[in-house]
Amino acid sequence: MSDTPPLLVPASALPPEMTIDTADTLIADFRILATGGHGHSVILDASKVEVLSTAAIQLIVALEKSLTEGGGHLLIAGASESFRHAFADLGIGLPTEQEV
Amino acid sequence: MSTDLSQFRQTYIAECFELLADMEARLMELDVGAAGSEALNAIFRCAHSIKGGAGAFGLQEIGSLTHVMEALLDSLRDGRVAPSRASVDMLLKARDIVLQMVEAARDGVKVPENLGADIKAALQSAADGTPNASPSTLSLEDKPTPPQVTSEVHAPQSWRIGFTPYQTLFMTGNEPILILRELARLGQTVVTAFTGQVPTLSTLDPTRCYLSWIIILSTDKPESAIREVFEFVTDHCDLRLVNITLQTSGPVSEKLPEKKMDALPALPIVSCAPAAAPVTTAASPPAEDPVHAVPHVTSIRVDLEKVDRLVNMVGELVITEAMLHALMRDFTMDKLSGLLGGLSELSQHTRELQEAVMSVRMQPVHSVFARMPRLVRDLAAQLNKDIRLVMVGEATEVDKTVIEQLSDPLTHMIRNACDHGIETPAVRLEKGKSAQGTINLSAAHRGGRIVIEIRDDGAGIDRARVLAKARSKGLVATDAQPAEDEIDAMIFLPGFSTAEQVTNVSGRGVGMDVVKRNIAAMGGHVRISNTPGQGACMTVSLPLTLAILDGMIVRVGKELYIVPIANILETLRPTRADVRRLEQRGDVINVRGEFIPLVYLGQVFSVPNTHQDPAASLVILVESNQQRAGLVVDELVGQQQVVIKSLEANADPVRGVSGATILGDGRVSLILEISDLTLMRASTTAHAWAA
Repeated sequence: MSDTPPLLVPASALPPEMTIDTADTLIADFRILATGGHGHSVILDASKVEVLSTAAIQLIVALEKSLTEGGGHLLIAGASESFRHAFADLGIGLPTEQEV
Repeated sequence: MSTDLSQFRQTYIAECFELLADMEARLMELDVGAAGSEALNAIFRCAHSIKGGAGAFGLQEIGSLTHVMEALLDSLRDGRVAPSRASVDMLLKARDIVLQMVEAARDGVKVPENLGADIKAALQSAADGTPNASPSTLSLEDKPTPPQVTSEVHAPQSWRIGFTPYQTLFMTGNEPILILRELARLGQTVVTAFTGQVPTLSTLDPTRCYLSWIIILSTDKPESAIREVFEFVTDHCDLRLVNITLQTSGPVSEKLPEKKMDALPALPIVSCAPAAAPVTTAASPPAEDPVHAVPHVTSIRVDLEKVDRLVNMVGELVITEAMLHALMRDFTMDKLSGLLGGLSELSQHTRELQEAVMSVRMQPVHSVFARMPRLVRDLAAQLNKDIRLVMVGEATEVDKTVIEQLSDPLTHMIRNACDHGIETPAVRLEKGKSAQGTINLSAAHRGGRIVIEIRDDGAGIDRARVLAKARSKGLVATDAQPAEDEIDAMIFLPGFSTAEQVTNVSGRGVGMDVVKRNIAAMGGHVRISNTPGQGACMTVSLPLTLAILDGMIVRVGKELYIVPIANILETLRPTRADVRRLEQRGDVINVRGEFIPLVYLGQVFSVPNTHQDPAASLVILVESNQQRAGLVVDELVGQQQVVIKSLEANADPVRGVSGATILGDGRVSLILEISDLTLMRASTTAHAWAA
């Protein structure tokens, strides 16, 4: 059983626009973020996100899956209303939120 | 065709509890100084969903009250009425009454005729606060969002829409989120996404779509309107549209809930300054408090992926069973290896199935934690204190049974922290603290258990007062000098209370002992750490499930015991030189320079014919509550999952034993409670030395 995720991982800020057009850059960034060995956790600062497409949410789901498989966690910090609504509208649960 | 609507009514009532909890949390989060329309919309949607269903199931009183709540919320979001603490209080009060009404509906009890009449009038008056605001301007039809479905709408149709885009959908320029939002405009939707096909980052192609959806839509619009939403993607997806409306004899058919928002709304910090308005002190006792009562939960929501996994597991089991049958039909010894392989597979599938079934019961503790901000807010107002609640780890999962039983003890501990722990602002300032006190509530998985901490920065436990009280009640001999932690633990003694006056918040003398007993009944334990003047911390440790545990079977004499694997650190075969006898502390074992106390299980349970010499035995190094001990046993028999049977159903609690199980050969074996054993060792040793 996993312990609580570490709280001292620095948060990586997500850009205001996360669409299919920026997916290539995003996946490259996410792959770097996910590289950290067993139990590696990532915090995404979602406070600036204004536009979030299905493709981008799918990338976040994939990042969470990758981290979970490695025994880590994905945490979201300061999720903006747009970010929350996009997840809710797609019927996908928001990843665990990190207190800010 | 007549249909039994009772099952839908139950679903509606269960959803009402969720919506009311959501509404409460959102009202608590609402920043009255800068309430955004989105926040108000979300609260409005909760009220609206409850109202819609109320009409469908003939619960007019609920529909009527939520309608007036909507009116005020509408005025707030339109800016006709400025959000204020008073309006939030009013909405919270109305929410509480709706909760009572829903509970009455669940229990088949008729609510008093005038229940909620006062608050209804107050809400309406507040909603009409702006000049020219007439009932007509508050009518539902004028509201732009969310989509309106009123009880006057006859026979809305319910549709199940399977939407599985082809992987190339993104490349066609189509965007599922826009389609789903468009769909939501037609009526009420419940959207379920399937993320199981999304690969990990290493193999994911970001231009491909791996998601699919099932949407339940309740709408009075025709099928053509729904198909029109998918007009541009019909060639790029698998679309299945099924009318699932159940015809009834009445005018209104199945009513579906509004789309559920994110499952875990963020409630990280809630500030609970005292309310400006005077607050009645004649609150009902906590146990009967309808606001914070736990709804009786008879159903749980399960992720479809978990159900799919179960179905897969059962499929595997059936295949393996068929294979074994085929083998056994004309079995010869040359097929032995095949048989053994099949049995091994069967064993693996059984284990996986068990894990899958258990995971269905795992739920986040959020459902219990979510009630606490309101509790703290109300108590802060009642006690004239300024209290901030910080919550961490709400997503931590634990068995549903544990969650259901956790609410009362947790509520009581929070009450105690507010009442006895946090000081009034004036006292805090005198002590050089900030006027606002803080209670930290956290949950985490640790060592196969869930650990919940309630930490406050209040006054801590006044040991001199506790000891004096214990002596006056005859709980401690007048000449005894208990250790500090023993004094702290006295608050768990039955009937113990240091409150000078019995209050309606806590201090009724039936608190912490009940908390301890309830937690112990779940196989858990509670510890307290106290720094007088600076605060106290209650740590509750509970098993993740109450049904099954991984255990190590050990032999002591002729008896077999189960040691929970979660408690085991390592096993050792010590030499005589490793074991020392310390004055006043009994035997200890030297493990890489650390001296760890030994517990002779044979001695603890009075088992005859056991080894007394650790060098001739095995030592199992265990840990519980950050305390380590070495259990001296004769033999390790093997590791096994065991089904926990409660002893307390048929016998009194046995110290050092958390339950029993039945082994494969039919023998009964006791499951050890490691935290008790370390304490028992201390008392046994003390008695031995005293003798």
